[in-house]
Amino acid sequence: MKLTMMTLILTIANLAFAVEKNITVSVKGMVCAFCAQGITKKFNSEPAVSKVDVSLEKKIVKLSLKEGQDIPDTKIEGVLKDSGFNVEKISRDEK
Amino acid sequence: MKYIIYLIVILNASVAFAHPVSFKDATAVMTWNQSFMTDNWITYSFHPKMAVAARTMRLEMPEGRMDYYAPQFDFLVKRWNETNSQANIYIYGSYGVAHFLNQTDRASQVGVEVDAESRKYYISVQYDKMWTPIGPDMDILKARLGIAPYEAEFNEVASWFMIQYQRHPTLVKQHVVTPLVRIFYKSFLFEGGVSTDGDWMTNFMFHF
Repeated sequence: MKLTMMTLILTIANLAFAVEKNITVSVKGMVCAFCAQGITKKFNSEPAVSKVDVSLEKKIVKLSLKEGQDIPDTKIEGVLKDSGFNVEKISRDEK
Repeated sequence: MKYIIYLIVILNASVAFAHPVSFKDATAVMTWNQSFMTDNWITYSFHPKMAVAARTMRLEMPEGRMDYYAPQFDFLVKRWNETNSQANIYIYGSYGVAHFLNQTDRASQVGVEVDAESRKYYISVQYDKMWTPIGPDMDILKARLGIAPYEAEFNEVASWFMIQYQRHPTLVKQHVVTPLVRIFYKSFLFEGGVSTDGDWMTNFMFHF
């Protein structure tokens, strides 16, 4: 019983500190959806990324990360470079 | 940027509807189909600026049909990524085999493609030069102007209206003007048009 309580407390504590991150990347040159398909393909293969949203109108790529995971700016820049684009700005928000 | 426009104007240009180099690790299949010409590419982009391709062409000349088969190397010379636009210069070259008038011999080809696009406007010029001992030297120029009736979002069907001019003095049709429609959704692209003298054109492309 004591062990179960301890496990429960630790689990709740862990959940309380776990944060979901969203990363918004402003991208230059992203004008064609056909050419930008590589972006979703590349980011979806990243283990930390749970969702990728691309907006040509806003010229952004929005990455939702899995709980407790992160992806460095250098990696983001690398993926976009491999996809043929340039990063203008990377901003992170946590919820 | 103005130098690109100069280049487009100065250059007198085969698959001018897609980039010869795609995103890294992408494989692209492109087919170009007209009564006097087919041009098929399978490319693998092993680097953001470089791709290898297998290319086949069918060219209808007054003397007969020429077929060309070759491995090709594509290189992105320069890309301008701007906030609302992108422009590119590509070069490519291949060395393979041509078959013409019951003869088969070596053949080579070089090409350049220049394009600039926004979500609303598109312009491209592509020029290919081809040599083979068993036939005439060939020039193939393709130039395009396009406008999108609406600015499609990433997951929407995109459509474009384009006008295309082709000049190839050694083929049965030397000058061809084709109004066409381009439609793409995700990784699939289709183009269809009818030239001013009634020739159909259907092009397909997909990448994965």
